[in-house]
Amino acid sequence: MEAELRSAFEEQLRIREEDEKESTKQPELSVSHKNLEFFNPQSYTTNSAVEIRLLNIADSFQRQYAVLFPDRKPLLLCPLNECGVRKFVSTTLHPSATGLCELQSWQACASFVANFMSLELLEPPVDLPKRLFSPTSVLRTRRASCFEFATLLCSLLLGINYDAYCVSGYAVRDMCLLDQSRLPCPLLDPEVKEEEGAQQDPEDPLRGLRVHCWVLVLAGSGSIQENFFIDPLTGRRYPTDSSSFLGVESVWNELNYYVNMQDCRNGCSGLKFDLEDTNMWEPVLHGATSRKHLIPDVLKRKENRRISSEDEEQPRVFQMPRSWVTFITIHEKDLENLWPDGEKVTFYKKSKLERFAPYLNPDGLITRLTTYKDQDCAEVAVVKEWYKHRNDSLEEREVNKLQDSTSERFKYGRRFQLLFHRVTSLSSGIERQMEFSSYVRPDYLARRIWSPNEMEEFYEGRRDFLWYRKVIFQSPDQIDDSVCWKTLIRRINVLTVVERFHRNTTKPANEDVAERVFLVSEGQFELTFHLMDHRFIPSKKILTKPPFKKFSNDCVSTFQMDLRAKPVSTLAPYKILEALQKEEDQLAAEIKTSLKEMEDIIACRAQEEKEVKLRVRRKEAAPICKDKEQKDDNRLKIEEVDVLVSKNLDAEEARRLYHCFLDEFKDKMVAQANFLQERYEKVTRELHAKQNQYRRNHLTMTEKQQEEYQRFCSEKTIQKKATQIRLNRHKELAHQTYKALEQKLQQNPAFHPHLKM
Amino acid sequence: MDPVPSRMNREMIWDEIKKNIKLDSVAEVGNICPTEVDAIKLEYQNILRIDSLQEFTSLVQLDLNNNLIKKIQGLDSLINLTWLNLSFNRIEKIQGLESLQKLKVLNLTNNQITIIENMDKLENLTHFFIGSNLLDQLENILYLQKFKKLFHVYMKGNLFSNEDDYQLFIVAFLPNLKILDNKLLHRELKEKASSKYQADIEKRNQEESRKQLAEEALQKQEAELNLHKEAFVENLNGPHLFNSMFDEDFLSSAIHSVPGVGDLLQSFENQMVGLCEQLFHRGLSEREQRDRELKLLLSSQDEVEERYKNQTTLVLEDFNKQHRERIKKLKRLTAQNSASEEISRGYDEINKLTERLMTLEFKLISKLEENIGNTETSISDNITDFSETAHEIFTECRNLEDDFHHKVQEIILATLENVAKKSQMENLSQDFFTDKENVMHALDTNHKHHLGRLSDREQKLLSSASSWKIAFFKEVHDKVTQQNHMRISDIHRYAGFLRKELEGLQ
Repeated sequence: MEAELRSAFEEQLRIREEDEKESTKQPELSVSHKNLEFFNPQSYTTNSAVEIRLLNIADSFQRQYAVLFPDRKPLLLCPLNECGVRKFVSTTLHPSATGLCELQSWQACASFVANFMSLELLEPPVDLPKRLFSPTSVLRTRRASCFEFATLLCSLLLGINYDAYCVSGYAVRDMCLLDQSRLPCPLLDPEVKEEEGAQQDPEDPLRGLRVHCWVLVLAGSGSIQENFFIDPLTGRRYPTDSSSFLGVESVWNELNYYVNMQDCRNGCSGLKFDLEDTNMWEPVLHGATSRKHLIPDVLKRKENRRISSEDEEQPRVFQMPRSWVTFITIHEKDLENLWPDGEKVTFYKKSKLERFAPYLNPDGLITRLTTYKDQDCAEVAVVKEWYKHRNDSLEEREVNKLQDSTSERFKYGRRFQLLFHRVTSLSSGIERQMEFSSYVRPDYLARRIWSPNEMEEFYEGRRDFLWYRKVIFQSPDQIDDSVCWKTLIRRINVLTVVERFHRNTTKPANEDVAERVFLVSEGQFELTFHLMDHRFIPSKKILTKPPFKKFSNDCVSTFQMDLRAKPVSTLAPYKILEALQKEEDQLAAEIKTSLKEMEDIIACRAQEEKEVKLRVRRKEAAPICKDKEQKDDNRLKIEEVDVLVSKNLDAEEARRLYHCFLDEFKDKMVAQANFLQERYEKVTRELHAKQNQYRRNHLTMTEKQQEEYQRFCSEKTIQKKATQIRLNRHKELAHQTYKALEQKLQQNPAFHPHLKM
Repeated sequence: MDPVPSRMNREMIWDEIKKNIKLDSVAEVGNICPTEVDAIKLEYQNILRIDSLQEFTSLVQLDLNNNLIKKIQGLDSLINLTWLNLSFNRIEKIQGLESLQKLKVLNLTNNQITIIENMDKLENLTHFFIGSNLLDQLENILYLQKFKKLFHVYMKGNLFSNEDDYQLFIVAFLPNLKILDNKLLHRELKEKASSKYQADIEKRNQEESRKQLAEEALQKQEAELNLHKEAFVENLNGPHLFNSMFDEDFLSSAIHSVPGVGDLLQSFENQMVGLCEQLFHRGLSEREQRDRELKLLLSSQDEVEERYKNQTTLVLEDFNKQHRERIKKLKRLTAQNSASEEISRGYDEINKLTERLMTLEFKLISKLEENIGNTETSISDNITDFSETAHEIFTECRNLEDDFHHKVQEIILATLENVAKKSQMENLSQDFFTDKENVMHALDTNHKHHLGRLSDREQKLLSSASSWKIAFFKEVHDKVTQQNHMRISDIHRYAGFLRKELEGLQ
């Protein structure tokens, strides 16, 4: 009943929203502006006393600077923010720890920032921007200039304790305009370094004048060994002497602002980043705490306070005030909806990279990389596609036009244990190659290659030591593959089967079969045995099926290596022959099964490809939120409810928000449960794989390996147990916490009056 | 009514074997070799005596249950037997199982055995059935403790089976046991048993571990001595050599009691021991170096062999493919002319193959010999080096001995004079010191003896080193040559085999 009501309500809501959108195609700015006013706290719209003082300091610094260095461009110190208020750039940085496990390294943060927003070019490209919006508003609009890119990235990096700085300076055209068409694609193997620099950069009339902003990370914290730059637009790392960066005007972090006093005529190659050295770097705030001294300073102050709590009013230097920007929060949803419009196309050197948000494409495509044969990107060479959340577990598909092949790679654990499937068109017909997870299959098959008249199978870890089987069929005349699969199998006519075995050390080499050839058409068997020590020619036995079932010594011809071997008699070869005949029948059945499976797999793939579905992870595959208003509401934190209390919500809005909160919370709980479940499965799988591997190899393992294995197992077992306990606990508690939140919200004065209907 | 006893003979056994093989497809049973038979079943045959089994040496399974056998015998040649069923007979004593080292399953139920014994050799025994016999001593079970692999025992129906703690006793003293009287042993039962007999078990365990430790120590000592022998410096660490020099001295106690000699002796010993130790350590390090050298040789030989093996395999594979095709073709060919042509081509190919294989073999052997030669040179250098060092050290020892001898002589002479004076004054004479000549003679003899011992030891060291070297390399050479001969004969035999195959088609 309640659910029905709710869905009806939601339906209504959606219609209303759509109407609104249709009717009022307002310019985007005004919508966002309304929002901004709604959400922006006071600090966005006004300046506090300290901030005003800081602005004064900055202004006087700017004046002196202009007098001292009339040739240099003015510095970017106090641009306007989104509310039209002047703010010092350092205070626009707000070190924020997102708390998301996905964003705990500079690489992850950089790629998130680069992928989450789209670039607004500076206009004109040689001037500093007049406005610098806060990272929070930039995250909302998903449009940013390079300065805003750098500010957001720097805030995130500072939040996870990197020694990061925003750098204002000059860079080459390609970097400023985010033109990567002359760079190799990072997804491609860097194996072909051909024609390096064969093509000279076209002359750029604005070279050295284009303003750019990027991020500097200094060595020392976050296990960084060497200073480096990050281009926030691409998330790529560059060495500090990279030729792409042409000069540095100033750098800043949340504590101070430093102006470069070093010569940049030769680009950034000679720059030193010892910011304490006032000969090289002129700080805006003299004597302010630098990052290096931050912690000792705080400790000292604490110490002082403890000793003399009162007379600690020394004349203190002016410290950078706290940031006016509110805490930057990034939601897990944002990590998924990376591309600003759900997709992003990047051109690289001889390749094109298209990226899509998950669930955007009905076939689960998330990345497509097209490589071309030529520079002009006219002729396609290879198309490689990556998929996610597909119900047929397809993860990668590569269509290679050069080799005329299609390869598909699957996630572990799908039907038939198929991991890899490649179809290649050869002049003689179609070759299919399949790979399987051998240790989960009862027959331990690892690979199967089917070419027109042959089938090769490779096994791993079988108890009977078989590792290879090759079946040669009678060449069927002019059989068209795929169409005639069914008939082909019926008409299959085996000519020869070759099987090879590993050495079984429990038998003497001379009696251990290495190769077994079934010459089906001739009714003959050939056995070749393993080599004895220091001997190069193997023993051999050729057995012929006796005509009329009358066995005699003529049916056998033996080449015996071991001269001391037992005298030849009839019984032993007779027994072998009998066993081989049995094996032959079994083989025929196995080959048939193999062929049937091939056919099944091909049919199954065709069927799957016809009806691709995506696995639903959360609620109905989260639609890409294009409606900004709703999105912003969703972003609200539960803790911010109190802010809303002051606002007078009308009934409908209140109800919507109420459901939003609950949904969000539910999502979070489900996501957490999913995460735990995934982790549990992963650990179990790893353990399983290792155990299987051990089972196969434990005879040949060294003691050290054994020990390692034991350690691995015990560690994983503990992990597995712990995850399970957490999962169970989560399941138990989730319901309770949900109920508790529901109650709390119901009692909240903002919602209370509107929910009683 | 007593059953009619029957004799166990070849005829009976062969009848039985034939029964087990489908005769319709094996034409001549006479061709079956006794060594090919792996199982014989002779049940309910009223056999009195085990006989005629000597030639079936590959027999794995033997069932002689439900007969009238009184004595276990005639099984000495069945060394591959893993299964022996003698249940429902009239056996009174366990015996005749000494050669059945591979035996895993032994069934002696329903006999008249009174004591478990004479099974020391059955190290691999896993299943032991001795139910319904006349066993009465529960302690007798302790005999089974020596079978570490034993996990299934059946004992029901013996005289002691009615005793209260029969089960617990067995479980406690056979801790590796998994199944008793066809019942799986649960952990609770095992715990109960071990708590009941804890004291006894602990005592036993202690004793066992002590024994084991002693054995280990002995082995370690032996291994060390062996190592020293390999380095040719056995018993050179410590005063062994020095002691051996003085073991047959004349008048030693008297001489050593002379004041001054003791100190001299002490310093002499210290110096000698020092030199010996020096030699000892040098010897060990030289041995290590030789060891490294030889290991290197082995691995390089293996490598070379592996390489040529792979080459040979490739050649053979190539040839075999061709050969198979040819035979296939020949079988189809009917026209005489073309067939003989093909056959002669086949012979040519075989000759070519032989030639190629021989060339490879020749290259291989020369490579192997070259490796050995290199190693031999460096080992010879090593031995010469060591011998020179040893000689130097022994020369020094001899110098020390000379020195010692002279000093002792001086002291003794001085003492003798003193004694002579004193004896005149005090009239106190020791018969020993009176005879000056005698004493000096003894000293000389001792000196010669000491020198002899030193050179003996030196000789021993040098000769053992050089003879080791000669023997070792002879062995290596022989081995390589033997393998070479073997492979060459293999090649010829294989060619013969292939030719015969072609002949068969003519």
